[in-house]
Amino acid sequence: MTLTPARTDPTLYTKTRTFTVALAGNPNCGKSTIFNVLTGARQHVGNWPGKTVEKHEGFFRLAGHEVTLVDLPGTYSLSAFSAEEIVARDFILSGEADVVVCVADSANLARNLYLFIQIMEMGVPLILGLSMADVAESRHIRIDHARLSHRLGGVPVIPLVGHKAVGLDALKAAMLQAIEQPPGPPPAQVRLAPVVEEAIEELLPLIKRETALTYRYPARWLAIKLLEEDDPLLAEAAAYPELLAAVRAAQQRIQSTTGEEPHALIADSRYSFIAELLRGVVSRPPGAHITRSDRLDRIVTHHIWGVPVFLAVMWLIFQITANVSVPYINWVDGVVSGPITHWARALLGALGLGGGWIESLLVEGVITGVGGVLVFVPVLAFLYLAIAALEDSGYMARAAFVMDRFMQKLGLHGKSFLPMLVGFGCNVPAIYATRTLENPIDRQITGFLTTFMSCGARLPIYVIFGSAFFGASSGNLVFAMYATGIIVAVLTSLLLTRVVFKNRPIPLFVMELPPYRLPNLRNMALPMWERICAFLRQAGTVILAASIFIWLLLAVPAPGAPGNFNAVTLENSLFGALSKLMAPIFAPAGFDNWGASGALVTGFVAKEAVISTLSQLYLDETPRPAAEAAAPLSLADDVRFIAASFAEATVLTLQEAVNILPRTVNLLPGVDIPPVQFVPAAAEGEDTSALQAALRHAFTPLAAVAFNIFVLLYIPCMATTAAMRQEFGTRWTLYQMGYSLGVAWLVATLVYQGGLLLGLG
Amino acid sequence: MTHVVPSLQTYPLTMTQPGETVRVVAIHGGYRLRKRLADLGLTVGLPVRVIQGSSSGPMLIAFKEDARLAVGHGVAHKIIVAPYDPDPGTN
Repeated sequence: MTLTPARTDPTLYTKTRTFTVALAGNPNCGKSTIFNVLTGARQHVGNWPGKTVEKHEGFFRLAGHEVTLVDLPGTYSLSAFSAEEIVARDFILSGEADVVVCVADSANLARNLYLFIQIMEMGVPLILGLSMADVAESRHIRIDHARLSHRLGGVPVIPLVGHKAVGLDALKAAMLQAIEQPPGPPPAQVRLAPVVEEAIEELLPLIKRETALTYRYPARWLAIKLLEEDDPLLAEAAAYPELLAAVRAAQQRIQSTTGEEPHALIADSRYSFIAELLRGVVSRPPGAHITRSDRLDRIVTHHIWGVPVFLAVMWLIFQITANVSVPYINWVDGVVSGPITHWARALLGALGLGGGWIESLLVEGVITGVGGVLVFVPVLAFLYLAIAALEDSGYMARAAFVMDRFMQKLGLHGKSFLPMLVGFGCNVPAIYATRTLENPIDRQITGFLTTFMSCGARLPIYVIFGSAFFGASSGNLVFAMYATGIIVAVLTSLLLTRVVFKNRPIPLFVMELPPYRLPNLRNMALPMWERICAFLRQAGTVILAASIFIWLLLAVPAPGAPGNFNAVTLENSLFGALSKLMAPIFAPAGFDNWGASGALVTGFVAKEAVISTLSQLYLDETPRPAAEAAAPLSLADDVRFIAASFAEATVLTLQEAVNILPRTVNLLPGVDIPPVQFVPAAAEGEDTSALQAALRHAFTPLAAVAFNIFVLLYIPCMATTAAMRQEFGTRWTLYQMGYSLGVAWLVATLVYQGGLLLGLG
Repeated sequence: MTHVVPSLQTYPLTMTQPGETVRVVAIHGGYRLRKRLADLGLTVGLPVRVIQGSSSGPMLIAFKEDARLAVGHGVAHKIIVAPYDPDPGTN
């Protein structure tokens, strides 16, 4: 409708432009709900250039204009302490945004306006959104927003209820007004303490004569920041000795006349300005200080009662990532190895390329690789939903509070616990779960440790070895492996925090606890999909490349060995040659047969591959799956299969979700509630007795234990490696690979040699 | 920093009990910590209510009506408080 006049009137047409609106606010202020309501599914999650901070951008149309909405990271202030603060402040300073919408929590206005007035100091066009107006209302907090707007010199002040889309029209109207008639900087200015104002007056002429500075920073803002001891800006000011000297002199004068540090005095001035601003604007019922959240927190954050609550929530998250996601994983696996593989073969056959190395490359290299990437989508989806629910509800902050006592002993932060726990299910989502930590060094350390958490794919290896060598007591091997992983992680953590990063800033545990809220599904689901796409784009390419590389190793004959390209036995391929080359390295650990090292090579692709490689090598099973013996399936059959198995996976997911309950209750001794079964279980149990006999032939029991320890500790699978590279960069990933290989070899050797000394060989 | 006369009546936040209301009289520790606490709204002179805390581990405090802050034990030890004398007429 808005296009009709545009077609007839060319001047209107040229007015249609792309505008940028920035959304700023404190963490937990309800900003992301407003972002999601405004942009819907039209959003994009990436990273800010050179930073590990997520950048959320969304798009919407506003009266014919295309608007890009940039969701700045949630910050309490705009000092330069964290990457988030630097990102937010640089973006506002860049002038890229036509208007900045600052969102403040209505129920916590005095604290939230601290950020708002700092943005005001930067002199950019502003709109103030008062979020969660319904929560404030339910607690009888009244805000006279017209009066507040008047006191702010006409800055629009708009009450909002994000999830009910209340106030959005008013917000859009204010944006449109700001876009079409730029209002200029807000006229109201924060008056700081007189001594500070005096110092600013002195500094202004010195700043204003340096065009290199005034080009990038508003002069008054820069003067305040320099007095506040802002590190990056002081470093820049060092190029102007006269200015720096004036700053130092002014700081000293403030300190000696008031007895307070300049930054504290400036913060006090800002808070008194806010108190003045809100006098007569906000009215609260007297005495309503203890909220429902506080009553809940008496139990949830209690140093004793908080622990069982915490364990229950973590158990639930673990069940969701490790068990509930399994049916969809199997579905993805079935679709990739079934219909998609048939289609690829059929297509190649139709093109006359069937049967040769191209088919092998495509099916065993590319499609297997793609499948290896896609199976992580369900796990990540469940993990992101679970994390979003924890964060949205406010529990994440409480969990960190409860765990802080214990994690501080390891030199870590309370929030490091969640990634470690998720790691027991799968290391890939564990790496992404480190994003919940604020400090990048804590994130790196935690990511480094998660790979020692024995993931679900390693478990079948221990089970098969355990039953081959220890029969009924195979559970002891499994338990020993999990325990070894935890011990190595604890020792590594101490090494990293006490030695490698001993000079890092001590993790100061200071964290806001947001009030408890019901999580909003829309808020949780929208970024989930974008994050999964980012995984597919970034980690996916690495995984695909690695699986093609392994395919080449298997297809190319070793120099001088018999066989042709794509027609060579495992032993005579490059893969076999490499395994034989590596085997002697493992002699001290007791397993120097080339089959074991070959299994370790394929184990890098996926830990699931260790057992299948061992079967291929020891049982001489045909390495290539038999050419499709089954009758060619029609397209309709395939589509029916995909749909039916998806429906079944959905039912099984529900079943697994319900079964969390019996599985949990059954942990109690003497209780045995059978799990529910909505669909008959598929007969799974493969016969592994032949493999077990072969293993007993190839390994001594002690060597088997050493081999299992190596499998537990060495480089995690390539998907984890790719995730780690995406999050922490190539260098850190290489360190981790080197370290985990070294530790795996060392511990395996120590166990083997120690066992020999004790006469266990 | 020295505008509050130290007296026997001041003690670290770690020595308070849940339910107690106290006034912040000084924050020790580096510039980073004080600036971060100020950014979160915790400044010298503010009355603070203790919601949760024990002889070790982090503490949960409330101030400015709706701000709730978790501080680690080490941080709480650097926040020096004094008994709060409410002005007549407020609670």
